[in-house]
Amino acid sequence: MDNLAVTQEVKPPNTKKGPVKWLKDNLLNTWYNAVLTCFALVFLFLVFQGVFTWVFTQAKWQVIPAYLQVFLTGPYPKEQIWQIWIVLCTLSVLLGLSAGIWHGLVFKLSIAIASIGLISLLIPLEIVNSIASIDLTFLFVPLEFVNKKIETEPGTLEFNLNIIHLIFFKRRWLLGSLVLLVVTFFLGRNKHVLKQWVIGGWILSFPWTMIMLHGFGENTVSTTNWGGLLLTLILATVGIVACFPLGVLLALGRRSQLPAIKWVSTIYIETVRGVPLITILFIGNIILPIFMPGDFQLDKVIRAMIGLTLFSAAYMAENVRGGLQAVPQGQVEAAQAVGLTYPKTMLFIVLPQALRSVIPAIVGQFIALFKDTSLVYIIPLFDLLGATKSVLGNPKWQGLQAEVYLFVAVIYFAFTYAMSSVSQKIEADLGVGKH
Amino acid sequence: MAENSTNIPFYRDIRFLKVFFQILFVIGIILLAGFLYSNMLNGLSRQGIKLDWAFLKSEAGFGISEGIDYDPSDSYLKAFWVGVVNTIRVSIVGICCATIIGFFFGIARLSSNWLIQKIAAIYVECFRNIPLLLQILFWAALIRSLPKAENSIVISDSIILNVQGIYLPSFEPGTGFTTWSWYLLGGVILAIIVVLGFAAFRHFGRDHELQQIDRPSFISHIIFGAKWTAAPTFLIVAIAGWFLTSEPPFVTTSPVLQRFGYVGGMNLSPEFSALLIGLAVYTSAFIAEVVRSGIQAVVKGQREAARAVGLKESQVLRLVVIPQAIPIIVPPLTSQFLNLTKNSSLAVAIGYPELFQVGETMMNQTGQSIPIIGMIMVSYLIMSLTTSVFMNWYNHRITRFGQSR
Repeated sequence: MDNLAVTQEVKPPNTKKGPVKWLKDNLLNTWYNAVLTCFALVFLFLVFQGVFTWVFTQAKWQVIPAYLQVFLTGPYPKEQIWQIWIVLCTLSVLLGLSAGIWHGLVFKLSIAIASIGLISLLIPLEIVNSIASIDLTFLFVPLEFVNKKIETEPGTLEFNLNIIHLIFFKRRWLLGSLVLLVVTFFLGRNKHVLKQWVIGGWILSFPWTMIMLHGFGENTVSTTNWGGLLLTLILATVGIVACFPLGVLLALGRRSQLPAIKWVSTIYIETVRGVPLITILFIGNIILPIFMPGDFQLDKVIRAMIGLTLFSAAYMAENVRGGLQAVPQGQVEAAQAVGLTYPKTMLFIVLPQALRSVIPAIVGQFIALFKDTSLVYIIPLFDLLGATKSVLGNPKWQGLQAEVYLFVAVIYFAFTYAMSSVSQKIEADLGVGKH
Repeated sequence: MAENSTNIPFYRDIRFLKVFFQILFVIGIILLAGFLYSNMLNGLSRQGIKLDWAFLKSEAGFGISEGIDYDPSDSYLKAFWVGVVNTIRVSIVGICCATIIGFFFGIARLSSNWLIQKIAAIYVECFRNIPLLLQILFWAALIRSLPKAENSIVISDSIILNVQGIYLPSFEPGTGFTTWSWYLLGGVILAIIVVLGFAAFRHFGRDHELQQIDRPSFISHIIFGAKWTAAPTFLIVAIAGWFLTSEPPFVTTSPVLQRFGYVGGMNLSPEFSALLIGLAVYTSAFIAEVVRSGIQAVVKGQREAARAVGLKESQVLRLVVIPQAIPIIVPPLTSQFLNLTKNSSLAVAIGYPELFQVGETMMNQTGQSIPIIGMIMVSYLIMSLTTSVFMNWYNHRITRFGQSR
């Protein structure tokens, strides 16, 4: 006790925080870092000056709203757009219910989607005014309405009425989807009974989407008219959903003890991984029709889906194999000791552990697949990237490649970036890599 | 008990089942292949195409805008070879550029300078998340919108950008090259003599009292000597030769503006430039990530230990961190190189005449899509295989000395 009394009071280390301290630590900690900071600042200034001048004074962004529908749905007929809206409404219902039931990640995701929807619902009318000569059918604003709008001044009664008209009538589908999302969220809140129904709904939503988009009877929209972001998303979803089980099977096949299965899987994986995707797409597009029996011909979009799936499955197999190798042999032996059969061992013991450890690689593969769908531009199909072709082909908009490509790049970036941040959240939730 | 084990019905006997399933699987594959083959014969006969390789010898009849010597009257095989060479050309240049840029940004992401770190992170995230095809189309459009030859953008008098592509000064052997190469030969011979003498001196001259087991082999002396005596000798002779040669061994030709645009120097065509920039930038973003994670994977304790024994910060990097990071970096780096080679096939969208683009033209002209696709696939497989064999050899070489990773 004496010692304790004698010890001098030691002050805690200086943990002062503040902008000056932060600057000293992160930008000016050594002389060469200070020099680097100066160079970087000059560089950034020049880049930002150039970019901002171009974006705000030189770029002609009118081309984007003018062709918004082409970018989003390609040559999908205007009269049938309601079919897409029905699909979107269905998905909003499912998303709202899931967000209510599971909270967490799904909730954050739907918040993000809802805010994007809200922003596009409330796109300032000034912009609509300035581009009055442009066809805005995607937003269900007929031309005469837009033309009339030029005369109305902000603040007047007519202006307000027009806003109400625009939001509640012309954009009713978008508004409807948003309302459905919110309502179903509150309906589904903490109703765990609904879990199985919602999962079933998600599974059924896939054929439902296909049927609705394709339509029936006089509302049929052939797949040749699918395009834009819609086609990109469909190709990516089908590819992701289909390549995953195929990849798992190939990975199991490659690690099989039966030589015939092992060799066939290995040769398939290595061949596909050794050639570029475009050759596989060409095989699907040009050579597959030769191999089809009789007059039976597959649709061009379906052939592209097959090409993407077969290609992606080989890469998926390698990712899964990495996970399988990380599962200790003892797990398999323990499963055999308690008498599980091979399928049960794999399904309940090995795969859950294997897949968990390779989630980052698998999501990386999904992102790559999403980017790779742009290659159907070459076949050609009119996906998001292919849509630029029809826009730039119009002599009225010549020389606007930079604007168009940047806009498309931003859309791609938004999706891939969202996917990678979702993957990071999942990783954090599962605690991958923290053993 | 013994009776029981023999009484297992054959349909539950694992030894039987293993063989049975494999036979079933192989039969299934053969049936599928046979079905597709008969369909193919039907389909081809419907289209009126006969499968054979004779078309390779006939005249190609289409022009190829760049590459090795070729004439439209040459055979299809020659045209295909031009495509292969063009693919290899853009891949090798692309790999070099992407590696340099990628290492630069990968190290920049680990900088202690916040600003530099963020700039590198933004670079990586932007170019990694946007489809390569879109990037290539963008660069191609950008180059096409450059000014005409009369008002080219000139950077420091030697690099010229205009709508016809990028012009760089080229280095070519000059009049004094033959003389200088004699000096080089002399340098090589002198270096060999020096290293042999050095090794002999080390091997026989000293350390006789050492135990037989401890004595390093003659080869290891040669390897040691090659680094410390032969290389400097050769360099000294080469540099001395450079100054002793009266005429310059190399000349630089800068592009000069003439009536129909720039002449001389090295011209990268617009398509090649766009493809190269696209491939290099896109792949460099991935390489930067590989480098960053490789360096971060070196256990922190290693750095701390190195600092604790008093190494300077540069020595910590050079002697401790990098030797351990390289073996982690090399395998994913290999797959990035392979990706770059395969991605060069996207040139078909902007018309750079590489393997795939030439193959597509051939398909359109002859209708022999199956053999041509086969040739394309085999070419890519050979390239992939060569690259991975080389990188595996390199990986093996650098991980040989007691690396556990």
